Amino acid sequence: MSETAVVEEKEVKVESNLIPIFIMGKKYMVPDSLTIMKAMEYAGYKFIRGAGCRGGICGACATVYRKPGDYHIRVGLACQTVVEPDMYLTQLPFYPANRATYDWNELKGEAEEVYQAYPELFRCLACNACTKVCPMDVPVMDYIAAVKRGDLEKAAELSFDCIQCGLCATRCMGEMAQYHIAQMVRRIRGKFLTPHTDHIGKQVDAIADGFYEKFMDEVKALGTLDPFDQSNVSEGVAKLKELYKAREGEPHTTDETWRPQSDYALLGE
Amino acid sequence: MQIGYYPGCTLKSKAKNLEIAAIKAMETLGVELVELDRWNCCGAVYSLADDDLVHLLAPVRDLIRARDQGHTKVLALCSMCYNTLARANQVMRDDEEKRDALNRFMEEESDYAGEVEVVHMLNFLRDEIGWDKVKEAVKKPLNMKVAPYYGCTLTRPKSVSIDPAIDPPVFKDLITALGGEVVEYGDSEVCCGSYQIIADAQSAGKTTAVILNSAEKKGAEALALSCPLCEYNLGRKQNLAIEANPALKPLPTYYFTQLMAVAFGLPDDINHFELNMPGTVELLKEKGLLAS
Amino acid sequence: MVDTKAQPARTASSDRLTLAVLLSFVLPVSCRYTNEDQSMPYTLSDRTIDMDFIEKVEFISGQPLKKCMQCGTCAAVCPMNETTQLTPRHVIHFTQLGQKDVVLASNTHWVCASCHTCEVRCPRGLDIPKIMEALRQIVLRSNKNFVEPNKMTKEQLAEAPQLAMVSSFRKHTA
Repeated sequence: MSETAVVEEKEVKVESNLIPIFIMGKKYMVPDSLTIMKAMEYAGYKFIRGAGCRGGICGACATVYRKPGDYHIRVGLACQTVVEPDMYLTQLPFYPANRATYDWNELKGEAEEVYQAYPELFRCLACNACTKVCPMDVPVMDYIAAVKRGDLEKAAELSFDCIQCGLCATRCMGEMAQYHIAQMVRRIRGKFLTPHTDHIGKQVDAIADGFYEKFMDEVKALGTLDPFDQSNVSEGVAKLKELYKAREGEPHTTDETWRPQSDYALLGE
Repeated sequence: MQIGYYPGCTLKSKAKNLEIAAIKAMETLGVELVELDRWNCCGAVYSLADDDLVHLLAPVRDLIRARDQGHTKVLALCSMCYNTLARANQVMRDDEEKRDALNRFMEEESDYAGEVEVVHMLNFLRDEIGWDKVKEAVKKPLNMKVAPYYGCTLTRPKSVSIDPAIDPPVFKDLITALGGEVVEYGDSEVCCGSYQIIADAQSAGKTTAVILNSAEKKGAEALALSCPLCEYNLGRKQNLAIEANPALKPLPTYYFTQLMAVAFGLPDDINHFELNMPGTVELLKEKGLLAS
Repeated sequence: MVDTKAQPARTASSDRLTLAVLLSFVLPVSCRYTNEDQSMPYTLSDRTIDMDFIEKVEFISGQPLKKCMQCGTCAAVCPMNETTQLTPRHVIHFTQLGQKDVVLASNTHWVCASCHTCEVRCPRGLDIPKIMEALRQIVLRSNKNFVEPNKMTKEQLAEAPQLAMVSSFRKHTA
């Protein structure tokens, strides 16, 4: 009896939580627990563009909205932002921002190459609209300032959280596409500015050369392993457990100088 | 002594020679230039439109950063940065209406009312260090005829001029203090063409040719500059001037901070002469002014 | 050449009176400078004087144009003499007369590098670079660029210092 009552109450609650939102000016009643993307789908919209990972990473679903009585243009990712009563919104499926073409093989990794690809970056007025609009809290104005002074390393670092949603470009007075500029800068950092990871190449070569085969052979030699058969724990499983417990791992608190001691790890030569 | 320091974009790459020489020369005089932790491009030129506030945002943000980092003074090396920052600072001090509008617009920043003072290195040397102290630090007097070139933004408009707007002595005094012979010529404050080099490089060449001709006629062996854009127009793009007036001979140009470093006997590598026009190292070698 | 008949027909504001005075005294001089062959005289009448233009220049620049007494000091000291099509004095004169097309057709306001040489020397205390800025702004605010950043050569972009681009784009792009 009491159980049924609770269920009924829940059902009633769902009904009462429909809230009005305005999608491109038209009013829809949607459940208040939904994200903008799900609310739009609930209202009957089908996403052909402007939806991707649905996990807040791909940056495909940039959305612009405003709340009643507030002049602020607010933004969010449709897949992450929960609807609020009376929000006026539109989702931006695409923005025609300038994306330069450059021959990756001919670049030398200099700031001048970014200037050649995107000379409009010198039109930045430091109005900071880009930073204010960024759903990822990237300091956009600051990384453009860093590119201007030729500090690509810093620009790459400051723009690291960018998800390429392009909202910065929609608000820019200088009409530049900050996010494409930042991507070029991060590509340059990846190719030219960060040290080459020689050890990974060595590791790959070692795998190809069969360096790890002997360890596999060691494990195979332990006999038939059936970890699910707990009634008859074989000698092999016991040995494997021992090996596993004795394995060498990086301690939780350590510094960059830590190197594995055992011979199965090639890391750090 | 420490002082807040605003570098400007160009000084971090193409005019590194202006910056590094300045930092080292100031060290010799016991002054540490403390670069602002966070700064953006100041905009290089001050907007002259009365109804335009948006172009003030960039320099005012830099002034806010300087104030918030506890500086009462901020020093600029680049003449254009100095001019833009100083004029924006004046607006924030004197124009209540514009100040309020800007502070309201920059809701993410703390309010600013012109608390910081903007100085250029030249008037800082004159007012806070003194020419005597500069003279004491000289180990290799500049035994050459140097023509100081002020350009526009150090002395104009009158409201931010570091010296009298017509016939200012500060640059000449520095060269004298460094042991150099000052060349007096009529065009030391004539505009080099500034940013017109982008729109019309040939006309810019005509303008620089007048300045170079005037300095050469008075026997100048070198030109001393304080602005990376003047350096570009008069130095690295000197070929445009020579095209406009083939009678001109190449005239080596130096930043005033490089001349200080040379006279103070600091190591040659800090001057990054590779960023100057060709012929600068050769002249110093001829005069026996190189450290090594 | 000067259509003064149209003037008294309408209620003359103080501005128009000033203009009428300017027209009768100084106009022939400026015509000689800018219109050498005299084949196309400038007609000044209610229809050709753009009062909005005069007001807009005064508003953006904050400079009272009537202060200019046409002494020509600015023209003498301007370092861009060789390149400008009209001297600063002419620009101010034609602006006083509301000749928007004549003023904006010249290159003077684009060639001006805001060096302030004229401002320091103007005996009437006019900030002439601000007048040039107003003329630039009138064009730029209608979204017309004078310099196109993406038409600059690769060599120029690699070689020019950053402050050259920043200042050029601020003065020459919309």
